[in-house]
Amino acid sequence: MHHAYVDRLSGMSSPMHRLDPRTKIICTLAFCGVAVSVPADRLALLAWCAPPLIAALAVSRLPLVYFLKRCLLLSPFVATVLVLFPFTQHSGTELARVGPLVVYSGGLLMSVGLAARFLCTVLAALILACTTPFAALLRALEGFRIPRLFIMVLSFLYRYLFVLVDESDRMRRARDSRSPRPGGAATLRATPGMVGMLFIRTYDRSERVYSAMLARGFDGAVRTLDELHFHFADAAVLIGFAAYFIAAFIIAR
Amino acid sequence: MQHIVSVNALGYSYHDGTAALRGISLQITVGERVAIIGPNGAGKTTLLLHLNGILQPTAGTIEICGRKLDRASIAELRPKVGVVFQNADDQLFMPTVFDDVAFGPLNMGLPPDEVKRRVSAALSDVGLAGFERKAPYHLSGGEKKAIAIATVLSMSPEILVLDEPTGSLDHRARRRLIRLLAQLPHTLITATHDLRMVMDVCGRVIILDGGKVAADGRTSDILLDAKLLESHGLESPDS
Repeated sequence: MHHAYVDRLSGMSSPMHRLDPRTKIICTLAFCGVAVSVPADRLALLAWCAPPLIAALAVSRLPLVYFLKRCLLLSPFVATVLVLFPFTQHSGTELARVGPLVVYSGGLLMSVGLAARFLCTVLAALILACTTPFAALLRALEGFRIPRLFIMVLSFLYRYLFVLVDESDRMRRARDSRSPRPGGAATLRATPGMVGMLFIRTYDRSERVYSAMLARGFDGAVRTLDELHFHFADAAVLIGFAAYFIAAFIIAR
Repeated sequence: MQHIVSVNALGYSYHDGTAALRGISLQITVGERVAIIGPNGAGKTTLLLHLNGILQPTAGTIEICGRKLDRASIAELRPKVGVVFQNADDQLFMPTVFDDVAFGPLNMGLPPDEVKRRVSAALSDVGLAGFERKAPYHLSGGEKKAIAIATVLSMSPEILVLDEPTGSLDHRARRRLIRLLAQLPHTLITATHDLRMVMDVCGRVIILDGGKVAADGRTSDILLDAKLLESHGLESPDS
């Protein structure tokens, strides 16, 4: 039950949540494409990306603080690069000296550009994930003619991730409650065994799930009911989105 | 009388050579409600998995609705036998309740409108109408079990096969499930340790022990025979 938080936001209701998932995926991908292809010497153009993001966030009524916290969760991956760039990219003029290290303007600019692109793409992806239930995302992928088998794999991953996390939690609890000193050498020695056990249990479970599928007539073909509806609002959003960036492109030239 | 399930000298050995079933024969008539009881490892689940061809017998035959169950007839006979597995997390594998209940009907090649009709009918049969959009891991144990039953009801089976339906349910969820099972019109075969449920739901009891049928008779006769129960590692429900 405690894993329900994953879908907590996507279960909300707002105009953004009600959009067809295909519309949201197209806009998100296009947006990320635009954000990462802004040339390094014209970073000011990235400012054009802010209004659509702010509008999407406002319309989706997502809780801002919680949302930004999730952004921070992803930031360690880029943070290292951001800190290293100004010292390692020896281009432009010398800005400052910190002990033996020299900060260059070119490196700093690259770092700022990277941070801005990171923020744009991560925010866009998070808005998509927080306004669209996973099942709807899968339906959208189906709508884009992604092979069913691939979608089935994703769907199983999502369905059993929680079961597996629960299972490993239970195993860890069982281990710790029989360990005199949790975190000691004995606990460490038990870990490879637990990983092996988890693998075997998962394998067994996959056989049982497959039996359950066979029992209900599974013959290798994955069938679902297509239930996506493309409304007027979707067309409006897509056209508005395209018009905005075409206008931005013309003005910026 | 018409036999809807007929098992003749059924034998099954696992890959490692362990014999799980040793010559089981039994006949079940239309509308009968049969409990299969016995100690752990008696072969109850193995027997159930044969009834819709998940496991293939190493000896003997099975007939469903008068037809021999083999590779040629399996596609036709499988929808007639709805198997509900012991662990609902194994049974519910789709991202939403709707997708899961629709899984069987879609595999049967039914048209979309009929699939939708069957899904809502099956969900209201188990008392969970309106659960279509929920994700299985958001459900309680009792709800999962009921949805698992709905996933086979939507295929309109003639025979319902349930493995440990009341295991790990709390008292209220268990009572609700028993009421549901007692209402269903299907021929019912259930493997269970819950002898009180057997008294409420089943008219006939088969004791399985060591892969063989040890006793077969009316529920009232068998469950009152404390000596018989005890000799097969079972406990009389009144004690």
